[in-house]
Amino acid sequence: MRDERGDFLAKAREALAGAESEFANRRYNNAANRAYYACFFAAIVALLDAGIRPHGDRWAHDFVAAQFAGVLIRRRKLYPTELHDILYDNMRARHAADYQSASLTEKETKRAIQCATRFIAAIEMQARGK
Amino acid sequence: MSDTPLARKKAIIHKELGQIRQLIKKQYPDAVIRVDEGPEASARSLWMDVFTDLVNGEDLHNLVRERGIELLVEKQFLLTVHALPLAYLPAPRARRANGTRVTRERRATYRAKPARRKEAASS
Repeated sequence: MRDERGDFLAKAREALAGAESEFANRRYNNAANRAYYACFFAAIVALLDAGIRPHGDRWAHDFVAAQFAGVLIRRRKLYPTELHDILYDNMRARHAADYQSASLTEKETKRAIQCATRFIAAIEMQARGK
Repeated sequence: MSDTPLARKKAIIHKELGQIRQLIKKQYPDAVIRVDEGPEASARSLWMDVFTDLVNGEDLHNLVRERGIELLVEKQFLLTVHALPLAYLPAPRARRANGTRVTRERRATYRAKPARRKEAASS
């Protein structure tokens, strides 16, 4: 049987490793992109753990952000409020990296990766505590 | 109001968009704000580009982050706000934001009109 949760957790870890590797090679836009996706995949893991699934087949970015912030943090209080700031800020950094001509700085990217690391750790810790 | 997806989305969060605009304008009166669907259009998301002369957009992001998250939680609507330098403003808006250039262009047009009439009369 397909382990969707395990697949997304593996993707989250891979994206974070990718972000760190790209950062080490000073490719900051790539690194910020992967740092956001690390959070996005980890947020999907958290939603699956809480029994929340998308309406169709796909996990849309707006759906994941809204459900994570609204249901898991505000309503069920499963995670600290800091995590919705991280998801929101890393999404904005990813938009800037992917669609704007100006490149992200080393400092901005470093913070995005540090935040993504905390984000994944919080999701894994919550899953272990269940 | 036209019934485009963008217009429909703006209507859903009309009040909130106005409040966020006000919040930004209060702090940055010269900011030029543009709301559109962004390159990753979806049914429940909008982009807000804020063009300012800020060197670092972090203060602006701190100013609007909480409102953006409120919108996400209460209306399940994702509004991402991007601070951009004024130099990134698309050309027609950049001209409008810089009043002196528009004025000079208009004067040139007024002066040209009588001359064109004379030319037309002589030919």
